[in-house]
Amino acid sequence: MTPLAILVMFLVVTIILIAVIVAMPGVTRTRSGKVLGFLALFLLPAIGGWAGFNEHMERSKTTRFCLSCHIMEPYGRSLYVDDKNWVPAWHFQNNRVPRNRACFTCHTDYTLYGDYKAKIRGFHHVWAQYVTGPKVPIHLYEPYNNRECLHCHGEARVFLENPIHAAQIDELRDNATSCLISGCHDTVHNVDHLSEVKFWKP
Amino acid sequence: METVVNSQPPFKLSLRLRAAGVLLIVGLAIEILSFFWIHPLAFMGFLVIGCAFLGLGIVLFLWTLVSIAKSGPSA
Repeated sequence: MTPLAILVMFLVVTIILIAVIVAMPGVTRTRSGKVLGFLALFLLPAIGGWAGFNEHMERSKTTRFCLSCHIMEPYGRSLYVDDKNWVPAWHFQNNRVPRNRACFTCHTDYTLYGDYKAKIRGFHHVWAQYVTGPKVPIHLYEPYNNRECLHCHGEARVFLENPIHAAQIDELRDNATSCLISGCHDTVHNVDHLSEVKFWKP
Repeated sequence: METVVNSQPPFKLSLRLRAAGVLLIVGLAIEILSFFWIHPLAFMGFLVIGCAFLGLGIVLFLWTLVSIAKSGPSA
């Protein structure tokens, strides 16, 4: 049984208990009825709401969730470009990032509240998509931080032993030299050039 | 044996408990429905509508408890 199925069953049982109270509020006359009322009208819904929030937070980290908006479609296609110079495609195709969390793995801040910050930005995306209209072409809020690359690569042997990386390791860690726009790993999603490339078919 | 604290829940208390219950049922139903769709709007629907109903239901229940405690068991 999946965690989602368990959560839905929990919510259904909670609804049934609440329905008992709604149908027969007189049951709260007794002490055990009061306990039932407290469970059904406070504790279980609070737990259910929190669990639902966590479930939605986890879903919102999936690649499917990110690509469910039409505007993200070309970015999803760029993950299948058959060229190892395309950084996101190479990471995605070789499982350098989990395929089911490809977007979020690179586009979250690896800080204490990075996940929540990313989700708050997500609210802005929904607002832009349905109310104000997205500003095309879409772009990052701030230049891509090396911290997100170094979160995985920073301590990797192959990274540290690379002479180019070793020569400027402090600049990379201080974000003074960008991994992406310094000319070394600058082919990222490039959605304007998708018509000119070959695609990998898994 | 069960101890009967109040002989009958007052009408106002019953009404508030029922209202809280209905709000919570609607909130939980929205939460369950939101799981059937993986999309930002499902998340927003759960957060803005579902959680609003859940929050109102819980607050109404707690307010009912507090108001009973203030006015005594016979209120």
